[in-house]
Amino acid sequence: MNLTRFSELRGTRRTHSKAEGLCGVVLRRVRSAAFRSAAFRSAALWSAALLVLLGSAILAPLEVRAQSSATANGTAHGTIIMPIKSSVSRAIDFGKWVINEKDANDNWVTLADDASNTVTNGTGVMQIAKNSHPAYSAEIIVTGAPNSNFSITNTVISIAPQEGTLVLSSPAAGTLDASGNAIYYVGGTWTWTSNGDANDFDASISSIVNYD
Amino acid sequence: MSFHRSIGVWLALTAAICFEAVSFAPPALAGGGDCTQNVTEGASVAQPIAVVNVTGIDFGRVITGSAPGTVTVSATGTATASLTAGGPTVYAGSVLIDPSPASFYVTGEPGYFYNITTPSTCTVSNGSATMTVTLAAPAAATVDGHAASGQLSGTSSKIASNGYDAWVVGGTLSVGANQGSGGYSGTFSVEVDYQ
Repeated sequence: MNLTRFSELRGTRRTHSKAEGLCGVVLRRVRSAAFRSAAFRSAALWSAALLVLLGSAILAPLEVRAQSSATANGTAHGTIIMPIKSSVSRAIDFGKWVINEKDANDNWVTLADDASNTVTNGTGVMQIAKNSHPAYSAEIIVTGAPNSNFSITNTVISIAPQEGTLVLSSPAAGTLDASGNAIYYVGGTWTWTSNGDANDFDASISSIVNYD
Repeated sequence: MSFHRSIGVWLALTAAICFEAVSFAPPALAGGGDCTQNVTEGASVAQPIAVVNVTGIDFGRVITGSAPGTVTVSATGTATASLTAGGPTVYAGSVLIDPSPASFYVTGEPGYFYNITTPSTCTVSNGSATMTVTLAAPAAATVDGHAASGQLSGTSSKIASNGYDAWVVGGTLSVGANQGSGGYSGTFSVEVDYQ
């Protein structure tokens, strides 16, 4: 009898369509007279509860795995700029002067540090040969990264003969234009302590630019 | 009595079906993870992992030189040139572009460990010339207000109790001799995976 019932149960499962599945089996058993038994109902409920629990346990990890990784795109960026460079397009020249022998304190000449080449001088000196030997400020051309700022540092390296003093002047800083070019001028004040010796006074100077 | 044996058979059959289902469950997980953890926590509780890029790695302005060299951006955003004679130098003027590492934060299930995968290199281009960026290992940092969990070790980390973690990626830019000027850009992909 037991074997027969078991066989019937298995046979029932085989004859059910896939759509019905296990639920069909359970429903069929519910309709059976045997399900009226409290013991059977209890067993069936426990079985159904166990199946639901295990079903959720099996399905849950599948969802977690589907969300277990993620990606993001990062960017990398860098800007290469050209080194800043300067070149002298015209050297500074204070021109030709006659020095007053009477008052060496007024023997000074100042050149403007702009494109005007404006000369001012003390009463102890007088400019000569303006047309043949005009005075010029130094003109420096700078190239580099467009729209960048730069600083200017001027230095007198040497004066020969070593008479008098030279103090350079220029803007302290500049800005390259959209094409990466700029021009600045170096002027200064030369004061002679000599009282009339005819000489060519030469100075070696440097003007250094740096990105600022 | 035979009826009770029938009930026993029914329960046995149910148990067998359940056992079979459980036996086949691990291959479905395909991760070899802790089965008990998956069963007890469930999909409705675990948060999906996500990674958000906040900033890209930026080497700032680099002054090219007559010799090749490198510029490195650290996890703290400091750019340092290789100091090769005639090589590139880091621009420090007033028209400054602040160097910075790439920054990311991760959201996910608190307490979960995860792996970070980044490429070893990426390429940046200005349209006509290229440079190579060698990416560094992730470094813990606060990103966009999200603190690091403090569990980053190599390429493995952990989601903090607030559901966040954060880190940055520095790198080294290889600059060629007389490298062409301009802005160079590129992308790289970062992946995070629950362990």
